[in-house]
Amino acid sequence: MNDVFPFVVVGLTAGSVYGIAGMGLVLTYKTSGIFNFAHGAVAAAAAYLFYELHVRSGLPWPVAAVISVIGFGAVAALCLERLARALRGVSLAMSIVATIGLLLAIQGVAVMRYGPRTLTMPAYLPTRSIRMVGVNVGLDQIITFLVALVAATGLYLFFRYSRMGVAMRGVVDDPDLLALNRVSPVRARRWAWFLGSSFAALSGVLIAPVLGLEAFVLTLLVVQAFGAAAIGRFSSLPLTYLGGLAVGVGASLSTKFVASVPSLRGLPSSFPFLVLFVTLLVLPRRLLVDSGAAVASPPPHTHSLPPRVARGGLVLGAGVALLVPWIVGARLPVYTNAVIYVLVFLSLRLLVRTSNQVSLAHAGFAAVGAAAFAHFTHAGLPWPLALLAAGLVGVPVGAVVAIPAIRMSGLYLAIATFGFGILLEQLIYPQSFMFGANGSLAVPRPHVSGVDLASDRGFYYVALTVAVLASVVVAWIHRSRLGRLLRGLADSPTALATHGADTKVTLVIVFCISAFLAALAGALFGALTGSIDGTPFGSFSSIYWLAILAVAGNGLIAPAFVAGIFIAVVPAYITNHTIIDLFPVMFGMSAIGNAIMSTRGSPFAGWLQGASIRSAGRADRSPVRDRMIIQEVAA
Amino acid sequence: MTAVVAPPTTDGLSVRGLSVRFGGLVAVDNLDLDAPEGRLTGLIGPNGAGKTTTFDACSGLNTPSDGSVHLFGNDVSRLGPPARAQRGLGRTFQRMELFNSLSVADNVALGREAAMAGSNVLRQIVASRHEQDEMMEAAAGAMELCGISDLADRRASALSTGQRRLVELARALAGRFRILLLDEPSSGLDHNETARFGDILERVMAERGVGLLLVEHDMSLVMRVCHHVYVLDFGKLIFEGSTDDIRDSEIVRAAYLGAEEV
Repeated sequence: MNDVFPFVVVGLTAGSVYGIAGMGLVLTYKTSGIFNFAHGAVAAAAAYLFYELHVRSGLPWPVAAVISVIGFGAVAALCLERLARALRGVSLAMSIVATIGLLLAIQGVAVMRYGPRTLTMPAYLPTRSIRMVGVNVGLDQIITFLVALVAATGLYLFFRYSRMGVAMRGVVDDPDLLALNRVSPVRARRWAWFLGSSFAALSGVLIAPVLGLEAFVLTLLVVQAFGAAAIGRFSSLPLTYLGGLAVGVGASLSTKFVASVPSLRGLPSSFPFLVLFVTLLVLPRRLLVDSGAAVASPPPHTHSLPPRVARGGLVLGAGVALLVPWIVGARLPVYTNAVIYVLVFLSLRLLVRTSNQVSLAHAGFAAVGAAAFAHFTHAGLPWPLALLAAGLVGVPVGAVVAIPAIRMSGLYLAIATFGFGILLEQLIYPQSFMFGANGSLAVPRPHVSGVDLASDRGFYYVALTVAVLASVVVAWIHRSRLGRLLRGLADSPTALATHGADTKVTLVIVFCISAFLAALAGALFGALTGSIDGTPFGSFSSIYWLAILAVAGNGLIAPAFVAGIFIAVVPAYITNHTIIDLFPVMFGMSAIGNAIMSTRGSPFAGWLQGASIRSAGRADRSPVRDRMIIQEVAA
Repeated sequence: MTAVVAPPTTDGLSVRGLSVRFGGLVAVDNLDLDAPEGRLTGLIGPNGAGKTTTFDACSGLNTPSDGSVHLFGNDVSRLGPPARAQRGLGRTFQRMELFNSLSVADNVALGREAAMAGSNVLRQIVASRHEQDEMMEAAAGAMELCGISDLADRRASALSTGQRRLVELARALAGRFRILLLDEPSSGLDHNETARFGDILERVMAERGVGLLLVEHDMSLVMRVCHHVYVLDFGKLIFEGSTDDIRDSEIVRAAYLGAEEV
């Protein structure tokens, strides 16, 4: 018992933090209908502010804490409530893009200001330890636990019994009804955002001394609240808190148990995502109904170019693409990289735009392809065959992701794929069957006697050929029966199913094709650099890719090329590091802007709009449901 | 009200002992209902009576707590929506479920194509030339029947409510359905459009001989086209009979029709 207890203490401390972070997330989601993927980033921002005030400016920690938690919470609440209001009527996919953009922007600012390295946050709470049940427990641990417990209980009581709390519960269901009762829905939502952001901020400030300050880690770790929120079924506050504790203790105990199994060393940090993924898989389907606003978005705006212009653009683009190796000199690998990214964006586009499914696990598909390709070429498979086989290895992985897609739509799918991506990164990437025992594998370029394919120039054409073939395939899919089914799926999966098409099959197909293309890209990335490891395929890459695609414009094929140039070529021509650091911020902000503008017919966006919120909202609109809501509010 | 429970009909849709609960609320309570081929059956009742819930249970979109759904004598209660559609049950939606980004012609064609795709991976990816022809023919016929052939190239989202209702009906008619559930097809239509809708329904009955089950608020339309009417209130069947019976029924008048002119 005594050798387990210390892990329980650590787990309870961390779990308390996850618990309150999760409660904040659930609270804002329940009241605004917007699931804030940037919740962890809000926590990180508060922790940095605390660091700035307490460590750099020397303010006493209680003052710094009050400012960072309550003051920052209030400011964040005003902004977030405004953002959430601007996102009303926007499709689910677009609202996900917006909060993901916010996450990127906050992280980007933190990196610009404090650099990518981890800053140590000195302990501000007393660290003296007390002997409890034969174990030394730090005072700071006890305080963290108690603060979280008080906050959680307070929030629960407030939500349950105060007038404003009741109003918050009513505001999602029926803002108009609430307004009739002389409670302003905006005020209720602002309160909810304030509490939610403050809880995020509190979790950030509490956990910073334990983890240190590093934008990515902090964002990711507070995102562990996702696991807690899933246990709370994204709606119950007490269950979310308990879920946080369970996740914390489970992760901590797993540290102890995997100590003897080195291959599982990624388990503790990915434990919450395992919980998240599994919970989403086992929760009854009826609980997985988005509580997002049921506003039908206007149809997507497509700006198809006149055929002659399109044809001209195609010829011009093809000409430029063919001439690139003779123009750009030593920067050629950068262009090859862009061409490979075209595959990633085509694959993402087929999924997100055509089919209105969100995947935040795309980097994982690419990683699997890269690793498989390295192994196949080492095993002596001819280069082109190895490439094809690497793509095919992506297919079952795509099918695995399609399982949550079959069970859940929209938001929950996005969350599940996010969890899946992190699981892959932390649990699978380190395995020797992925990138070898040293975490890195050599990857060859193709060799054909008499033809130069292995030089930078030759390989550029190889990559370009694959990208063009993929473009042709995607364009063909769009015109085929599958394309019609996918577009139908995006607009109304219900109608498709009630007319006889098995939409589960359709979903599996599109995920498999998408994973195939992404895996091809992963393989080519490896061949381009000559060796491959897990770094380029971090789970945040998936987020970044989605945000860039969101700002790359309309159309079917062209935006994939535009996005490829954005992500690979543009940074290579900017020597100023500040501007390069600014990139995630810019893409993040543009993603938010595009999401907001998507209902207003912006020339850029609109393609992500789809039917998912319509199908999700239907249950809320039936007369029966109306009656239930009225009873709930009246009670 | 209901007499002895009859065995499920073998020539259409039958619902037996159907109950659907949402939490503590009983939306549909022990309902028996038949919609055979060749008959235009009405299902009426005030808001929240459980009509759409019944439709959803028939097409497999919700999970009944009790009872069974039969199609042409086979129990389909355990099948999903696509499988029921494959067995001849089609429907429209009160909140229209059009493919908004597609043209009218593509919407209607998908009404046939969805069933061709079914659950077979290959058939979901490519259409044979033969299927393509069959699809186009079915779509053209359905659009003709609904009088929307001139809208074929318009985008579904760009149409008026009345036109959208017709597109949804045409899409269902393009499929090889033998029983169609129509959920408030006249809501959002003006008087003339509703009258024209009634004409179309009568044409469909005459030309196709399918079975229609119609949820409808417009009593004049119900009284004009329906052969047999079920009346629901608070999830319970309170009356069934011909339109004449309905007109004479005190129960129906009290529960639903109220002051409305019949």
